[in-house]
Amino acid sequence: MEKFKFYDYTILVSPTGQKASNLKEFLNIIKQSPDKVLFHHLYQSHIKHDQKVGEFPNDFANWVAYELGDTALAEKLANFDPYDYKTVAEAKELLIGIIEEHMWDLPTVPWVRRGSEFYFSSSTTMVIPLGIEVSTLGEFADALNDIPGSSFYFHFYEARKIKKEKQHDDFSQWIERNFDRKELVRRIREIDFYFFNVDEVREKLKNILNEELKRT
Amino acid sequence: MAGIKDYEEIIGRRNIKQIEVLASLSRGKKVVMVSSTRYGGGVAEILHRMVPLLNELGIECRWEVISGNNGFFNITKDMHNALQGERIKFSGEELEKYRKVNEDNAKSLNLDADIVIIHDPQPLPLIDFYPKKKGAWVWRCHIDMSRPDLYLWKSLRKYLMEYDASVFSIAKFTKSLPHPQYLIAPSIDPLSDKNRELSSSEIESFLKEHNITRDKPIILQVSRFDRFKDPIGVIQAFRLVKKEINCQLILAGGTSCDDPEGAEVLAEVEEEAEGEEDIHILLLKPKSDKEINALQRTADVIIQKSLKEGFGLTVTEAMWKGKPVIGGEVGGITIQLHNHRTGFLVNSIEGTAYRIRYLLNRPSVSNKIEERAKNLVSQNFLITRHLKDYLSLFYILENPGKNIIYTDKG
Repeated sequence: MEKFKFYDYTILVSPTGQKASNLKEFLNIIKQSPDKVLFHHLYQSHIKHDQKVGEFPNDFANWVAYELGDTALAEKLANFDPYDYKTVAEAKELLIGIIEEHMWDLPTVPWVRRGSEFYFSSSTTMVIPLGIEVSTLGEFADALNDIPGSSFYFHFYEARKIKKEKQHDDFSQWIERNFDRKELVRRIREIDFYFFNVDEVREKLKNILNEELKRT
Repeated sequence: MAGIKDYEEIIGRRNIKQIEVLASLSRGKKVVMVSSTRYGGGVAEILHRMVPLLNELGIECRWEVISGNNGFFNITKDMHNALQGERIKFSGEELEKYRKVNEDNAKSLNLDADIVIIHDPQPLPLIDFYPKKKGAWVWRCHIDMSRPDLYLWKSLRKYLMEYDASVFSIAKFTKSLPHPQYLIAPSIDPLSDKNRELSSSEIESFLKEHNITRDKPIILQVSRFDRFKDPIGVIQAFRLVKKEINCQLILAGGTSCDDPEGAEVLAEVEEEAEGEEDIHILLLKPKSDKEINALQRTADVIIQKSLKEGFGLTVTEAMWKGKPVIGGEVGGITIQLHNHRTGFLVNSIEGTAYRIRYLLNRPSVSNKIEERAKNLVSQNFLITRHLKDYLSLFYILENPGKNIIYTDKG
């Protein structure tokens, strides 16, 4: 039986020094930005402290909605799920397409007021062992109550992107390899995680686990 | 003084463990912090706690303070103001004096370390004059650099270009620089005299000493007497509120040896408040942390009506104590106060008055805001998170260019 070893996760945000004051600059900088910048703003939004609860699931959509004031574009950017793509480069290409198509119909380029510019950043991630290892599904369910949100984020969100060949979260992969629980694996993989915050997804996963453990 | 284990009751055992693991990656590393004053202001306050905690965790951390006369600190105070956006012209003589004092300090300070962290613009040119430079030099900027005076920025940029990295409190302050930049928000210490729980007798004895009664709501701003903190604007907002609600205002502030402008601003504030018996101006002595704590715990609404602000740790302190806060929509205050959720952001004297009235008339709204505000601080702006960021930075400086660093230590 393979043990599941929980890791924790800490990021240090690293601004690139580039900022956009209008939609055209925003698009141009996105086009020139390396994948690590896109990765930070599209994927890591779920873990950042300054994210306001109840808003859109990525930094770009939030800026477009609340600073640029273009609600229609914000909705399109929010509905775009970067986890649908195998690589950040593919997600970037789609993102650029959405913005270009939207801009095509705009009579003028929208600007933000001074001080509300979009500041581009990347990040350095440090992954460290949390000191929790589990062997059974019961232990795993208990550990979900104990681990910090950053650890949950790492295993359920970011792990899918760190290794390109991985498409699924660490938890369901471990269950798939070690237990005959096809239904449980299926239900975990069906969680529409991108549109929820870390705590909400953790609750969903706990509920699914509890139901499955009670059922059998 | 509290040790790292004492924070377990606040952040939990797992977070302490995470800090210890991160510290183990840099154990034995020599770090030196350099700032311009030992007492007064947020930087000194953070370093008083950060340096002992880093040492306890196995990092050999020292704290050096540059020396200079009043003339030097007058220049650096003007520089501080100009970097925060005031248009101030500096003569060649002033820039030379700034350079020369740093040159003299470079001869007397011991800056031999693996990592040298220079705090704020006062000691920025040290890098130019330290002959035995080794290790990584990092400039840690605590001030609101969103729109610095261009002329001064160009003069100082040449020093900054020599650094290996820089650290800012929020993205808005970052600049286009040839080295990596990092974001690290500052923090408060929940176990310090300024932030720990106080008994009601401790609070009452302080109020008695200063003749403060609780017979009417207390509006409070705690800040150095500095024009960027807009104490005059606070008094004007208070006068608007006072027309509708019988309340009192306390403006409490200390002094700092690197801020020679304080006495001048205090005189302006006293003049503005003259004749108003419900305005209390308290000039606090250095190390009045317990007194500030008592004031914040007594206040009904806390204001930080800054016009420019690096971060606004007084906002953080008030939020941690579960008080409703109204802050100027500038600098780091904007990442702490989210309208209707964790406090209110304002842009005018009228807006400040309106939000004071709003909060005094709606205690139930205040209660909800207070809970969320405390939670935000607890997760993001305590010294333990800050410590974690510094430890990550130390390791990242040793591993440049990596986006993901795995470690199996633990």
